[in-house]
Amino acid sequence: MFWIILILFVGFGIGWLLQGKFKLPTGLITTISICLLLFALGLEIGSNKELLADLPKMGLTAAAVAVFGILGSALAVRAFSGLYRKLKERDLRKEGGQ
Amino acid sequence: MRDSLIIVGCFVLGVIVAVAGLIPESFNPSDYTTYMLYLLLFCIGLGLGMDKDFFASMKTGQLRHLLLPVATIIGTFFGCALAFVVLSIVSPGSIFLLDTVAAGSGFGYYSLSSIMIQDARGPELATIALAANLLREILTLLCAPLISKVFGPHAVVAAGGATSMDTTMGVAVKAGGSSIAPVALYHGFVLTVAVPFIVTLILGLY
Repeated sequence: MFWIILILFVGFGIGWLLQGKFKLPTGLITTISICLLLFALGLEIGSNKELLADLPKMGLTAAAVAVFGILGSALAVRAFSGLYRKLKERDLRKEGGQ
Repeated sequence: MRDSLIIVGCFVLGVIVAVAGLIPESFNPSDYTTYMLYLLLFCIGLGLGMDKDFFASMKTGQLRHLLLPVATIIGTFFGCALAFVVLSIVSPGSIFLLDTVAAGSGFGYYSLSSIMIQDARGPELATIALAANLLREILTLLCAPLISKVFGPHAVVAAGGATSMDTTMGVAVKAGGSSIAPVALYHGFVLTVAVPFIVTLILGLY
Protein backbone atom coordinates (compact mmCIF):
# COMPACT_ATOMS: atom_id res chain seq x y z
CA MET A 1 0.00 0.00 0.00
CA PHE A 2 2.99 2.28 0.60
CA TRP A 3 3.86 1.94 -3.09
CA ILE A 4 0.41 3.11 -4.12
CA ILE A 5 0.78 6.45 -2.37
CA LEU A 6 4.42 6.84 -3.46
CA ILE A 7 3.62 6.21 -7.14
CA LEU A 8 0.69 8.61 -6.95
CA PHE A 9 2.99 11.32 -5.61
CA VAL A 10 5.75 10.62 -8.15
CA GLY A 11 3.19 10.93 -10.97
CA PHE A 12 1.84 14.12 -9.42
CA GLY A 13 5.35 15.60 -9.12
CA ILE A 14 6.25 14.80 -12.72
CA GLY A 15 2.92 16.19 -13.89
CA TRP A 16 3.51 19.37 -11.93
CA LEU A 17 6.98 19.80 -13.47
CA LEU A 18 5.57 19.25 -16.96
CA GLN A 19 2.57 21.55 -16.39
CA GLY A 20 2.03 23.89 -19.33
CA LYS A 21 5.13 22.55 -21.17
CA PHE A 22 3.32 19.96 -23.29
CA LYS A 23 0.13 17.97 -23.35
CA LEU A 24 -0.13 14.25 -22.67
CA PRO A 25 -3.30 12.23 -23.33
CA THR A 26 -3.41 11.23 -19.64
CA GLY A 27 -7.18 10.77 -19.75
CA LEU A 28 -6.88 8.26 -22.58
CA ILE A 29 -3.95 6.37 -20.97
CA THR A 30 -5.91 6.22 -17.71
CA THR A 31 -9.03 4.86 -19.44
CA ILE A 32 -6.97 2.20 -21.24
CA SER A 33 -5.26 1.05 -18.05
CA ILE A 34 -8.64 0.92 -16.26
CA CYS A 35 -10.06 -1.19 -19.11
CA LEU A 36 -7.13 -3.63 -18.96
CA LEU A 37 -7.43 -3.87 -15.19
CA LEU A 38 -11.15 -4.55 -15.20
CA PHE A 39 -10.68 -7.09 -17.97
CA ALA A 40 -8.21 -8.87 -15.66
CA LEU A 41 -10.66 -8.66 -12.77
CA GLY A 42 -13.31 -10.20 -15.02
CA LEU A 43 -10.91 -13.01 -16.00
CA GLU A 44 -10.22 -13.75 -12.37
CA ILE A 45 -13.89 -13.95 -11.43
CA GLY A 46 -14.83 -15.87 -14.55
CA SER A 47 -12.18 -18.51 -13.91
CA ASN A 48 -13.31 -19.03 -10.29
CA LYS A 49 -16.45 -21.20 -10.13
CA GLU A 50 -17.11 -20.53 -6.44
CA LEU A 51 -17.08 -16.77 -7.07
CA LEU A 52 -19.44 -17.12 -10.03
CA ALA A 53 -21.91 -19.02 -7.83
CA ASP A 54 -21.66 -16.22 -5.27
CA LEU A 55 -22.58 -13.48 -7.76
CA PRO A 56 -26.23 -13.06 -6.59
CA LYS A 57 -25.10 -12.77 -2.95
CA MET A 58 -22.42 -10.25 -3.95
CA GLY A 59 -25.07 -8.28 -5.84
CA LEU A 60 -27.23 -8.04 -2.72
CA THR A 61 -24.26 -6.81 -0.66
CA ALA A 62 -23.34 -4.27 -3.33
CA ALA A 63 -26.92 -2.98 -3.54
CA ALA A 64 -27.09 -2.56 0.24
CA VAL A 65 -23.79 -0.65 0.30
CA ALA A 66 -24.88 1.61 -2.57
CA VAL A 67 -28.36 2.40 -1.23
CA PHE A 68 -27.27 2.98 2.37
CA GLY A 69 -24.19 4.90 1.23
CA ILE A 70 -26.40 7.32 -0.70
CA LEU A 71 -28.94 7.62 2.13
CA GLY A 72 -26.21 8.12 4.73
CA SER A 73 -24.46 10.87 2.78
CA ALA A 74 -27.76 12.61 1.98
CA LEU A 75 -28.70 12.57 5.67
CA ALA A 76 -25.24 13.86 6.64
CA VAL A 77 -25.68 16.80 4.27
CA ARG A 78 -28.92 17.67 6.05
CA ALA A 79 -27.22 17.32 9.43
CA PHE A 80 -24.33 19.58 8.38
CA SER A 81 -26.45 22.27 6.70
CA GLY A 82 -26.81 24.36 9.86
CA LEU A 83 -23.04 24.43 10.41
CA TYR A 84 -22.53 25.29 6.74
CA ARG A 85 -24.87 28.27 7.00
CA LYS A 86 -23.03 29.55 10.09
CA LEU A 87 -19.63 29.26 8.38
CA LYS A 88 -21.00 30.99 5.27
CA GLU A 89 -22.31 33.93 7.32
CA ARG A 90 -18.95 34.21 9.06
CA ASP A 91 -17.06 34.12 5.74
CA LEU A 92 -19.37 36.73 4.21
CA ARG A 93 -18.96 39.01 7.24
CA LYS A 94 -15.18 38.66 6.96
CA GLU A 95 -15.28 39.53 3.26
CA GLY A 96 -17.59 42.47 3.98
CA GLY A 97 -15.22 43.79 6.63
CA GLN A 98 -12.24 43.91 4.33
CA MET B 1 -21.43 7.66 -19.21
CA ARG B 2 -19.99 6.26 -22.45
CA ASP B 3 -16.63 5.65 -20.74
CA SER B 4 -18.43 3.87 -17.91
CA LEU B 5 -20.12 1.55 -20.39
CA ILE B 6 -16.82 0.74 -22.11
CA ILE B 7 -15.18 0.02 -18.75
CA VAL B 8 -18.04 -2.22 -17.59
CA GLY B 9 -17.91 -3.89 -21.00
CA CYS B 10 -14.25 -4.80 -20.40
CA PHE B 11 -15.16 -6.39 -17.08
CA VAL B 12 -18.02 -8.40 -18.61
CA LEU B 13 -15.78 -9.42 -21.53
CA GLY B 14 -13.18 -10.69 -19.05
CA VAL B 15 -15.80 -12.82 -17.29
CA ILE B 16 -17.08 -14.21 -20.61
CA VAL B 17 -13.57 -15.01 -21.90
CA ALA B 18 -12.75 -16.85 -18.67
CA VAL B 19 -16.06 -18.73 -18.48
CA ALA B 20 -15.62 -19.82 -22.11
CA GLY B 21 -12.27 -21.28 -21.08
CA LEU B 22 -10.27 -19.14 -23.50
CA ILE B 23 -7.40 -18.31 -21.11
CA PRO B 24 -4.37 -20.61 -20.99
CA GLU B 25 -3.69 -22.45 -17.71
CA SER B 26 -0.33 -20.75 -17.25
CA PHE B 27 -1.80 -17.23 -17.23
CA ASN B 28 -2.39 -15.71 -13.80
CA PRO B 29 -4.31 -12.41 -14.05
CA SER B 30 -3.48 -11.18 -10.54
CA ASP B 31 0.23 -11.10 -11.41
CA TYR B 32 -0.23 -8.30 -13.86
CA THR B 33 -3.08 -6.43 -12.16
CA THR B 34 -0.63 -5.15 -9.54
CA TYR B 35 1.63 -3.59 -12.18
CA MET B 36 -1.34 -2.18 -14.06
CA LEU B 37 -2.57 -0.68 -10.79
CA TYR B 38 0.76 1.13 -10.43
CA LEU B 39 0.49 2.41 -14.00
CA LEU B 40 -3.04 3.64 -13.32
CA LEU B 41 -2.01 5.47 -10.14
CA PHE B 42 0.92 7.04 -11.93
CA CYS B 43 -1.46 8.28 -14.67
CA ILE B 44 -3.91 9.67 -12.12
CA GLY B 45 -1.10 11.50 -10.34
CA LEU B 46 0.28 12.79 -13.63
CA GLY B 47 -3.16 14.02 -14.71
CA LEU B 48 -3.71 15.86 -11.43
CA GLY B 49 -0.22 17.37 -11.47
CA MET B 50 -0.64 18.68 -15.01
CA ASP B 51 -4.11 20.08 -14.32
CA LYS B 52 -3.98 23.82 -13.61
CA ASP B 53 -7.61 23.74 -12.45
CA PHE B 54 -6.58 21.41 -9.64
CA PHE B 55 -4.42 24.08 -8.01
CA ALA B 56 -6.99 26.77 -8.65
CA SER B 57 -9.77 24.76 -7.00
CA MET B 58 -7.56 23.99 -3.99
CA LYS B 59 -6.84 27.70 -3.52
CA THR B 60 -10.49 28.76 -3.55
CA GLY B 61 -11.39 26.05 -1.04
CA GLN B 62 -12.59 27.86 2.04
CA LEU B 63 -13.30 25.77 5.11
CA ARG B 64 -17.04 25.68 4.52
CA HIS B 65 -16.58 24.20 1.05
CA LEU B 66 -14.80 21.24 2.61
CA LEU B 67 -17.88 20.58 4.70
CA LEU B 68 -19.82 18.90 1.87
CA PRO B 69 -17.12 16.31 1.00
CA VAL B 70 -16.63 15.67 4.72
CA ALA B 71 -20.39 15.14 5.13
CA THR B 72 -20.31 12.70 2.20
CA ILE B 73 -17.44 10.72 3.75
CA ILE B 74 -18.97 10.54 7.23
CA GLY B 75 -22.46 9.81 5.89
CA THR B 76 -21.22 7.09 3.55
CA PHE B 77 -19.36 5.31 6.35
CA PHE B 78 -22.46 5.56 8.52
CA GLY B 79 -24.52 4.10 5.66
CA CYS B 80 -21.99 1.27 5.16
CA ALA B 81 -22.25 0.39 8.85
CA LEU B 82 -26.03 0.31 8.47
CA ALA B 83 -25.69 -1.90 5.37
CA PHE B 84 -23.58 -4.27 7.47
CA VAL B 85 -26.29 -4.43 10.14
CA VAL B 86 -29.02 -5.12 7.57
CA LEU B 87 -26.94 -7.77 5.75
CA SER B 88 -26.07 -9.42 9.06
CA ILE B 89 -29.77 -9.71 9.87
CA VAL B 90 -30.59 -11.15 6.42
CA SER B 91 -27.73 -13.68 6.48
CA PRO B 92 -25.73 -13.66 9.73
CA GLY B 93 -21.94 -13.99 9.49
CA SER B 94 -21.83 -13.52 5.72
CA ILE B 95 -19.79 -10.31 5.77
CA PHE B 96 -17.50 -8.21 8.00
CA LEU B 97 -18.13 -4.60 8.94
CA LEU B 98 -14.81 -3.61 7.32
CA ASP B 99 -15.91 -5.26 4.07
CA THR B 100 -18.96 -3.02 3.63
CA VAL B 101 -16.94 0.04 4.65
CA ALA B 102 -14.18 -0.84 2.16
CA ALA B 103 -16.74 -1.45 -0.60
CA GLY B 104 -18.33 1.94 0.07
CA SER B 105 -15.08 3.84 0.39
CA GLY B 106 -14.78 4.30 -3.36
CA PHE B 107 -17.58 6.93 -3.25
CA GLY B 108 -18.53 5.99 -6.81
CA TYR B 109 -14.90 5.87 -7.99
CA TYR B 110 -15.35 2.22 -8.92
CA SER B 111 -12.29 1.59 -11.06
CA LEU B 112 -9.59 2.65 -8.63
CA SER B 113 -11.23 1.45 -5.42
CA SER B 114 -12.13 -2.00 -6.75
CA ILE B 115 -8.65 -2.55 -8.13
CA MET B 116 -6.98 -1.49 -4.88
CA ILE B 117 -9.31 -3.86 -3.00
CA GLN B 118 -8.57 -6.64 -5.50
CA ASP B 119 -4.86 -6.20 -4.82
CA ALA B 120 -5.31 -6.39 -1.04
CA ARG B 121 -8.42 -8.52 -0.43
CA GLY B 122 -8.98 -10.61 -3.57
CA PRO B 123 -11.62 -10.75 -6.31
CA GLU B 124 -14.78 -11.34 -4.24
CA LEU B 125 -14.70 -8.09 -2.30
CA ALA B 126 -13.33 -6.31 -5.38
CA THR B 127 -16.41 -7.35 -7.37
CA ILE B 128 -18.71 -6.23 -4.56
CA ALA B 129 -16.91 -2.88 -4.49
CA LEU B 130 -17.10 -2.52 -8.25
CA ALA B 131 -20.84 -3.22 -8.30
CA ALA B 132 -21.56 -1.08 -5.22
CA ASN B 133 -19.77 1.97 -6.64
CA LEU B 134 -21.29 1.53 -10.10
CA LEU B 135 -24.73 1.21 -8.54
CA ARG B 136 -24.09 4.36 -6.53
CA GLU B 137 -23.46 6.27 -9.76
CA ILE B 138 -26.44 4.72 -11.57
CA LEU B 139 -28.84 5.20 -8.64
CA THR B 140 -27.76 8.83 -8.28
CA LEU B 141 -28.42 9.42 -11.98
CA LEU B 142 -31.84 7.77 -11.76
CA CYS B 143 -32.99 9.05 -8.36
CA ALA B 144 -31.57 12.60 -8.44
CA PRO B 145 -35.01 14.30 -8.58
CA LEU B 146 -36.24 12.20 -5.63
CA ILE B 147 -33.08 12.77 -3.56
CA SER B 148 -33.28 16.50 -4.26
CA LYS B 149 -36.93 16.65 -3.27
CA VAL B 150 -36.40 14.87 0.05
CA PHE B 151 -32.92 16.07 1.09
CA GLY B 152 -32.21 19.11 -1.06
CA PRO B 153 -29.98 19.59 -4.15
CA HIS B 154 -26.69 19.40 -2.22
CA ALA B 155 -27.62 15.84 -1.25
CA VAL B 156 -27.54 14.93 -4.96
CA VAL B 157 -23.93 16.12 -5.07
CA ALA B 158 -23.17 14.04 -1.96
CA ALA B 159 -24.95 10.99 -3.40
CA GLY B 160 -22.84 11.23 -6.54
CA GLY B 161 -19.66 11.05 -4.44
CA ALA B 162 -16.49 11.31 -6.50
CA THR B 163 -18.57 11.27 -9.70
CA SER B 164 -20.13 14.65 -8.87
CA MET B 165 -17.38 16.28 -10.97
CA ASP B 166 -18.22 14.35 -14.13
CA THR B 167 -21.02 11.84 -14.72
CA THR B 168 -23.48 12.96 -12.05
CA MET B 169 -22.80 16.70 -12.33
CA GLY B 170 -25.55 17.05 -14.91
CA VAL B 171 -28.30 15.72 -12.67
CA ALA B 172 -27.04 17.82 -9.74
CA VAL B 173 -27.20 20.98 -11.86
CA LYS B 174 -30.65 19.98 -13.07
CA ALA B 175 -31.79 19.62 -9.46
CA GLY B 176 -30.17 22.71 -7.98
CA GLY B 177 -29.47 25.14 -10.81
CA SER B 178 -26.15 26.20 -12.31
CA SER B 179 -24.85 27.57 -8.98
CA ILE B 180 -24.42 23.92 -7.94
CA ALA B 181 -21.85 23.28 -10.70
CA PRO B 182 -18.75 24.67 -8.91
CA VAL B 183 -19.85 22.98 -5.67
CA ALA B 184 -20.22 19.65 -7.47
CA LEU B 185 -16.86 20.10 -9.21
CA TYR B 186 -15.01 20.89 -6.00
CA HIS B 187 -16.77 18.09 -4.10
CA GLY B 188 -15.94 15.52 -6.78
CA PHE B 189 -12.36 16.76 -6.94
CA VAL B 190 -11.75 16.48 -3.20
CA LEU B 191 -13.24 12.98 -3.07
CA THR B 192 -11.38 11.77 -6.16
CA VAL B 193 -8.09 12.86 -4.61
CA ALA B 194 -9.09 11.42 -1.22
CA VAL B 195 -10.20 7.96 -2.46
CA PRO B 196 -6.73 6.34 -2.75
CA PHE B 197 -5.85 7.58 0.74
CA ILE B 198 -9.16 6.54 2.32
CA VAL B 199 -9.11 3.09 0.69
CA THR B 200 -5.50 2.58 1.82
CA LEU B 201 -6.50 3.59 5.33
CA ILE B 202 -9.50 1.21 5.46
CA LEU B 203 -7.51 -1.70 4.01
CA GLY B 204 -4.82 -1.04 6.60
CA LEU B 205 -7.38 -1.68 9.37
CA TYR B 206 -7.79 -5.37 8.49
